[in-house]
Amino acid sequence: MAKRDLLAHPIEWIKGKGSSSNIAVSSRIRLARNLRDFPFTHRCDEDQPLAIADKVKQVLSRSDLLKNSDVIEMDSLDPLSRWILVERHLISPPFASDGPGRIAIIDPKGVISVMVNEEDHLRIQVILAGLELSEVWRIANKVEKVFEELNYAFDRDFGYLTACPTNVGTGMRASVMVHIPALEMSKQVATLVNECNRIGLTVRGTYGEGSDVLGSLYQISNQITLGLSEEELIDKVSSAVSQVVAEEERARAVMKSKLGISLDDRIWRAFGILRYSRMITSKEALELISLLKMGSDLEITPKISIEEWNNLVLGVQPNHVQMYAGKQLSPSERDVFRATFLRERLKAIEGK
Amino acid sequence: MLCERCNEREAEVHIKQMINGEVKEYHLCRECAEAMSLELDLFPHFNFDLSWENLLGPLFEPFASTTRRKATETEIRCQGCGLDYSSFQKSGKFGCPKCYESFRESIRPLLRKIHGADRHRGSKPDVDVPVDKGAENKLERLQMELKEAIEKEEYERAAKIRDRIRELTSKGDGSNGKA
Repeated sequence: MAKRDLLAHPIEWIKGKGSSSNIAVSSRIRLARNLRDFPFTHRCDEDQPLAIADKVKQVLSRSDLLKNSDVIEMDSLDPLSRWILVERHLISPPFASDGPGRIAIIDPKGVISVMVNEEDHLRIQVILAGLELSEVWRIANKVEKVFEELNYAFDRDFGYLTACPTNVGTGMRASVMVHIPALEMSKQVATLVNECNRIGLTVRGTYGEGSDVLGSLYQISNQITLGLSEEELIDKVSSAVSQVVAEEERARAVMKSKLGISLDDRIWRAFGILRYSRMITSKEALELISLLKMGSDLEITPKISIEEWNNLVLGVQPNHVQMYAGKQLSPSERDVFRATFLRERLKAIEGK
Repeated sequence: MLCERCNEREAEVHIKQMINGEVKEYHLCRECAEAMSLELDLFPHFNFDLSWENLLGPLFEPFASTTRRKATETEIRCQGCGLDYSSFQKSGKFGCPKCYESFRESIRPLLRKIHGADRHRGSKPDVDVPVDKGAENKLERLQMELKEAIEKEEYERAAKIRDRIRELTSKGDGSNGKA
C-alpha cells in the first residue's frame, strides 16, 4: 500500500454527519476479544500471532461485511504511515510499533477498523460522526459476530476474557469525542471530570489513555466494562454527553453575551494568526483552530463546515504535515510547512 | 486526627485490616505507615512510590482476610500457560484465557474493586460456550441467579432456582458450597 493511499482512504466520521456533531465530534466503540485457544498477545511466541492473523484473514474473505476491506500489515508500513493511522484514529498509539502478525483491517467507508494482535487478539473499532453510540453499537455488534467463529474466550461469570482485568466482561469502551472550548475557557472542565468520575465515566485526552488534550477535544468514555450490559453502558455515556453538549452551548451563549467584542477580538486574532503566520507549532495551531470553529458556530468568523474543521485538525498533526510534505521534517521545518498549509486553507475559507 | 504511632503528625493513612474475622484499624501518618509496613510486613504491597503499577498493586491483592492464604495462592500456576499469580500482580496482565479459571477465586475480589461487580451481564456468544464446571460452580451460579431474580422481583423464577439449589445441596455434591 503506497503512502498516499492512506490519506486517500475515506473516513466516515470526518464528514461530520450525525446528531450534535458540531460539539460531539465522533462516537466510537471498541470491543476487545480474544481467541480461546491462544495465550494473550504479550505471552504469544513468534508464530502464534501469525497463526491468529491467518485465521482472521480467512474469516474476512468469507464475510460480506468485510471482504472488501483493506488489510494493512503493520510491518509493511514505515513509522510515518503508521502514525498517520493513529492521527486518523484508525489504530491505537501502542499498535503503531513493530510486532509479528499485527494487521489493521479498514473497511472501504472508513467506519470499521479491526486491530489484530494488539493487547488483545482483536480490537474491533467502529467510529461515526456525532453522538451516535447506538448506531455504532449496532455495527460493532455485527462485526463482532463475523469473527465469532474463531471461538472467543468467554466465561459465564466474567464475560469476554481480556489480557487486562480492567477490560473484562463486555470488553467494551464506548467513547465520544467532544469539542468544549467554552467549558474550558470558563474553567468548568474540572467539574465535568469530577461529575463524570462520580458516575463511572472517565475523561481522557484527544488520543485516549495518557494522551494530552489538544484543541479542547476530550474523550468521554465508560470506566468499567463488567457488571452492566453494553446498552446500559452506552446509555450512561450518551446521556452524559448530551448534557455536556447542552452545557457547552449554554457556556457559549453566556460568553458571547458577557464578553461581547472582546470575544470577537480573541477569535479574529486566532483567525489572523492562522491566516498569516509563517511558522506555527501543532499545539498553537490546534488551540487557534478550536477558536476558529467556535467563531464559526457563533457566527463571528466565516463559516467552516465540520468536515473542513476536521481536516484542519488532522492536517496540522505532525505526521500529516510530513506526509503532505512528502518527506521527514525537523520540528521547525514542520512549523513552516504547517503555517503554509493553514494560510492556503484559511485563504479559501475567507474567500467564500 | 493525629497519627496513633508517633502522636505528632496528622494521620493521613487509614487502614482497616481483617485477619481471620478480626478487624484491626490503623490511623497513621505517611512516615509511620511506611515504617510499620516495612517493620511488621503488615500491609504487603503498601508503598509510597506512587507509580501507576504501585497504585494498582494493592488492588491486585485479594481481600486482607485472604492474606493468610496468600502464600499458597501465589504458588498456584495457571494450568494453561504456567503464569503464577504473583507474576500477574506485577504485570497486571493475565497470560491466557485459562488464567481466569485458574485464579477464579482471587479474581473475584479484584474485579469487584475495579468494576464494582464480578459478574458479566452483557452480551454472550451465540455459539454455546463449553464449560467444565463442577457442581460447586453450578451452585454458586445458581445462587447468583437467585440473587438476581430476587432483585428483579421475579419471584416465580426465584422459587424455581431455590428448588434447584435444594436439589443440588441435598444430593451432597454441593458440600463445598455455602448453602
